[in-house]
Amino acid sequence: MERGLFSMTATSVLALLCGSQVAMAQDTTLTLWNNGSCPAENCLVRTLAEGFQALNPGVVIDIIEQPSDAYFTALLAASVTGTGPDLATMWAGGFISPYKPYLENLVAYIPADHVAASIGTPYYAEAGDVTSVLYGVPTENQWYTGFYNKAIFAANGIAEVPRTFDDLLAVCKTLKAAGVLPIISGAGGSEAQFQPSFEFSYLLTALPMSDWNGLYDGGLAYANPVVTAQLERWNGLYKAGCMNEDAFNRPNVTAAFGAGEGAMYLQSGSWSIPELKAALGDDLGIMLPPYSEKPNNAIVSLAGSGVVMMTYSDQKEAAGKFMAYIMSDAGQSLMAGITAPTRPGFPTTDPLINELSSLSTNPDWQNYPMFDNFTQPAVTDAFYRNVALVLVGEMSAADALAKVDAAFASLPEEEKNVDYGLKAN
Amino acid sequence: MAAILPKTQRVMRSGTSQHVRARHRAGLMFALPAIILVVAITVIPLAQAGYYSFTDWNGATAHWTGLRNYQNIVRDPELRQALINSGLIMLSIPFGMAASFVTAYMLSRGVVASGLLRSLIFAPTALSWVVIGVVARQVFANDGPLNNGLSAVGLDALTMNWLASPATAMIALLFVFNAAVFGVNTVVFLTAMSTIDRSTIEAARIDGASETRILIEIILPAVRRFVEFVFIITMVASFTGIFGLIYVMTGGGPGSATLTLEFAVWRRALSTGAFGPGAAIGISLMMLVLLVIAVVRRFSRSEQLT
Repeated sequence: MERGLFSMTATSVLALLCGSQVAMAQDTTLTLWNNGSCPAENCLVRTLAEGFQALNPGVVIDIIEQPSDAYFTALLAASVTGTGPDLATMWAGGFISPYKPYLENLVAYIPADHVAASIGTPYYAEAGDVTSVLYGVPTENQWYTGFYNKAIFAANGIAEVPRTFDDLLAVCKTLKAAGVLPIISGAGGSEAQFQPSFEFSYLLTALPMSDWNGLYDGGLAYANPVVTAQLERWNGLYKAGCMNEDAFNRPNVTAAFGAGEGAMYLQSGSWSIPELKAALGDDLGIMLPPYSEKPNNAIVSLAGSGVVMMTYSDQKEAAGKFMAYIMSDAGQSLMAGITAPTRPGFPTTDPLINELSSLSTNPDWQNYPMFDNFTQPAVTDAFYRNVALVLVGEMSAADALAKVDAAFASLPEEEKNVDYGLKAN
Repeated sequence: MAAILPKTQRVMRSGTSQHVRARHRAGLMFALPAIILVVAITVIPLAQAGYYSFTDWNGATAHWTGLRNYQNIVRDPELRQALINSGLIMLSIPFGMAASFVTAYMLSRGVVASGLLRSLIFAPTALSWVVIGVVARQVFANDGPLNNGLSAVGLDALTMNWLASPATAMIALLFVFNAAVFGVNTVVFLTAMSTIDRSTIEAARIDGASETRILIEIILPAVRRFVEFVFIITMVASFTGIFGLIYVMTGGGPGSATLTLEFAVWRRALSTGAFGPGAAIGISLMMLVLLVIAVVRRFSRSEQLT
């Protein structure tokens, strides 16, 4: 009797243990580090994770929101010690470089036709070749863009959106005469100064794409006549009184533009559309910074963010499935509900995003990447600090660009020799 | 010597030294946790930083680069500017201290409502550098209280975007830094003055000494140690403690106008991922602080001897 009881108990314990082992095998948890907070109402990675989890019961994606300020440093430090996440959000271009030793090549995990169809994947690939080494998959397309307030334009009889420097100056004159601030400039949030990268990218569209490669690898100096002239014309807008006097460091200008201050806002991107649309509704219009002498069919776009898989992940199979899911029809459809998908054929519900998307896919238009995504960190820092001063006349264009060149010259040789494989579309 | 001592004395001495050794061992045991802690969180990281300052460590890999990082500190115009800016802040400290010193003297003499004034002066020291930076940014904003005040008194010509011009941003920073440490320095000087024998001052006054003479020839020498202390802690704060203030107020700009060595460490190491060069700046900063402290101590000692 006792032996029978013992046997039954042992069998039950064994069954329980086996049961729990089966359950553990089914429950796979993938950790995903997100760069910054992910707002509940439109968190793209969470939406993608939930879509994936619904199709893959037993796999849980645990999204960890890491502070933006130290995100890249924390990811690198964790990767060095192999204690980082299975998956992480990553920006395209030069941001990837320090992490390459820790990024899994995704070519084997994702159908090649999905990768080839995406306009963002080349920026996550080695030398732009998506068939050899693919470090990540883009989760959205983004554009640097400006905005205008349709109501203010209409009230002042402005029918056409400016497409050149001269157009812009003419509109500026009209608006100033009516007592309206033509262009609002400053920090989007509470930063100490405005971010010049958005406008700088458009100013550099005066150069062909081949010259951008030259700027990145030192083949062409930043202090060249074309870029110098562009910066001087940019400063001319400030000198002509087209912007607020504190254009360098006025805080919270995105919110101010949304509140109806300023007819144009040229220092932002497609990520501001939800906020500005909520504030201005149908009065919000897209306006690419018209920084050229003649109408220039150039648009600055890039895969805004993406997801990478770490080589030290011990859940590579499940993580790879998630990467494939992001690029699948189901994943792209979910993206379209929130932002611009990276594969064509998935229109969003937002007409402004669709407008940008149609320009990007228009064969008459040239897509340029976001310039600062490819510059070396020290160079990015130099133009952030110095080029911004050119706008408000605190530094000459020649001096600012010379400082950027000096920052490039001080780079170690291995950082100078870059090839991102940027090509004209 | 021990050989010619009487046996009883030798036994006593041996017992005493055993007792001393036992006490030393016990002391060491008590101090050991603290020693381990200091070594673990200060000495080892410092040694690591020293090593990495000779490499191109990017957070993942490190290759020995010799003195290159240190040579770059001297050659790099931005870092030279950071060094100059740190020096300017240090040079401004005596002026801020003078204001604190005079204020403390006035309060110690028992001006009207001195108790309330003490509280008002000391209260802002409870604010963090970040809060001070936020407030300062508002004060110096284009449409901030400073420009509004200047306009109100008809000085429109002096209004400007203070934090957007390299020429004025540093002046604003110097002012804010010294204003922020004014309270705590005043309180230290007040405490110092309370230690002075009042009868000496009264005697000098009876002998007809002016207030200025009393301040310079009696009070200042009597509180010299406190002056040295205030200078050192304020100098150390200026070199290593105002990152938060600069980050919020100017971000180190415009350009490199308010970039300090401390801020440069962050910018190089964390903002651009160049941890090796960042470590070299950090080590240089530490050496500079130690050097200034040594000079101040030496100067103070030689003054005492004379």
